[in-house]
Amino acid sequence: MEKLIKETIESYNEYLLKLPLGCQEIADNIRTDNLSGALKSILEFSEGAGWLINANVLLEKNSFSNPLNPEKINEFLTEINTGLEIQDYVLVADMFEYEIKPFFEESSFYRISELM
Amino acid sequence: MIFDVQLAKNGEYTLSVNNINIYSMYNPRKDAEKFIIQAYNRDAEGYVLIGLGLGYHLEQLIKMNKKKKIFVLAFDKQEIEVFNKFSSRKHSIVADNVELIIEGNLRGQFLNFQMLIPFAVMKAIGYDHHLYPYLEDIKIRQMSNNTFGSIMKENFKGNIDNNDTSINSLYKQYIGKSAFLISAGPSLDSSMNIIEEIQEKVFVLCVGSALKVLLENNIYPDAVIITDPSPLVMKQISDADYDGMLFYLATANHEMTLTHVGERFIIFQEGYSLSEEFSKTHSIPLLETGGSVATTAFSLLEYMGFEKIFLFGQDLGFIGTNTHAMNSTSNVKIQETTIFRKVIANSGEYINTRADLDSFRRWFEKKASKTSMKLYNTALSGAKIEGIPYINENEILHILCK
Repeated sequence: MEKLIKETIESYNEYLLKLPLGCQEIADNIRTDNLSGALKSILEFSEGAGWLINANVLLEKNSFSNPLNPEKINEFLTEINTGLEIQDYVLVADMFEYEIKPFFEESSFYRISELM
Repeated sequence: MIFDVQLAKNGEYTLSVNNINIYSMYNPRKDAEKFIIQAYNRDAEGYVLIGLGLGYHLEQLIKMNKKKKIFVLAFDKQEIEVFNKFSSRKHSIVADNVELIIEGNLRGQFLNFQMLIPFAVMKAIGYDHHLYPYLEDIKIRQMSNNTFGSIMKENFKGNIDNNDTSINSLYKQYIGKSAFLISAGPSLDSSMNIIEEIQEKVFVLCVGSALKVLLENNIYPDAVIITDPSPLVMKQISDADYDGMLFYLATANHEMTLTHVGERFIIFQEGYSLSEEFSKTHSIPLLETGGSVATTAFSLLEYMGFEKIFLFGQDLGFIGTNTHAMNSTSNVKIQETTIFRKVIANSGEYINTRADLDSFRRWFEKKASKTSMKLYNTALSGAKIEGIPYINENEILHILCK
């Protein structure tokens, strides 16, 4: 069990580290009209964000606490969907660059030392 | 059009048109700069910028090009008024190399000029604007080139080394004959019986994504055509046990061409510089591709001299969410939340379509208005194509078996 928790925490931290860069890449792809690339990455982002929330909840149940604010992430996903539905891609790019990216930059990592 | 100017978070003005954001609400100038820097082609003879807006795109374009001509299209006088009132770069439109055009007819005037079309501007003017189809056709080609540019070049080099036969020898070799052009649209599923019944009487050319579906239904096409540069097309031909003719575009996936065991013909396309150069030096014809494999196939059949072409599975739209025949290698389910534009089908119903499919429909209509071939469309639930009437099975039999 401890091994699984350690692996989950490592994956969580790795993903969280990559997310801001990924958000910027999505915004840049949209701003340069590489929409197919951006839409593919947005799909991966929404799956990744879902995994992050689940992992956070499961770790919490195992007494590893690290507030993530899943409501805020769901709010982001809803706004992205709205932007995509009305095809206002500038709005979606703004979301990723100026709201979602800073949000994940400010999210905290789990400390591996907690497991030791 | 409804122009709405607001202050962005960084204090610059930003603009939305018809409720679609043209620039960022945070940093509009930087947003426009990114687009121009990425899209700019320094080899173009000049530039046509679609949309004046608040001048941010133009400002960056002038920074990058102070000599070559820049035409800027404003959609109406109100757009110019908005620009004059809010832009901090009013001097840009009086630069020596800049000329403002208002709602002109753009068609055919700017050969070798680069069209700079921000996607947001297209979305903002909307489908109903008379320039929308024209801009959309150009934009789709540009986006495809951006996505596949480097892979197309690699494929081209590899395919030239194949030393395959060009299509010269087939020019007008099928005068008076009929061809089935089989695509993999949803309506193909209901056409299998008639195709199987008559396949011996016609030349059957199918697109790659329809090949395996046909073989599974005891239909053995005379030829298959594949144009896609992506390695994904390997699955269209690999393990198909097919040794008929393969027609492929010079930029089609190279690995796929090597997989085919039958006779191969290479096609060089108009509008792709490497193909055009090769065609010139080797006296090989160029075909108009129209952007899709089926439109390329249409040009090929016309070149070969066919008198009648029957389109199968050329739906150019879809009911619900299925884009292709059920067992086609290209079938995908579109997310149901997507909002589609509608077109009228041969059945009289309205069906969903996408920008690329609608662009191909316009291409077919343009070609139909110019060709002397007799054209028929068998897709009852497919999009109506002006100039290519719907035909049912009895009528097909009457024409081909009389």
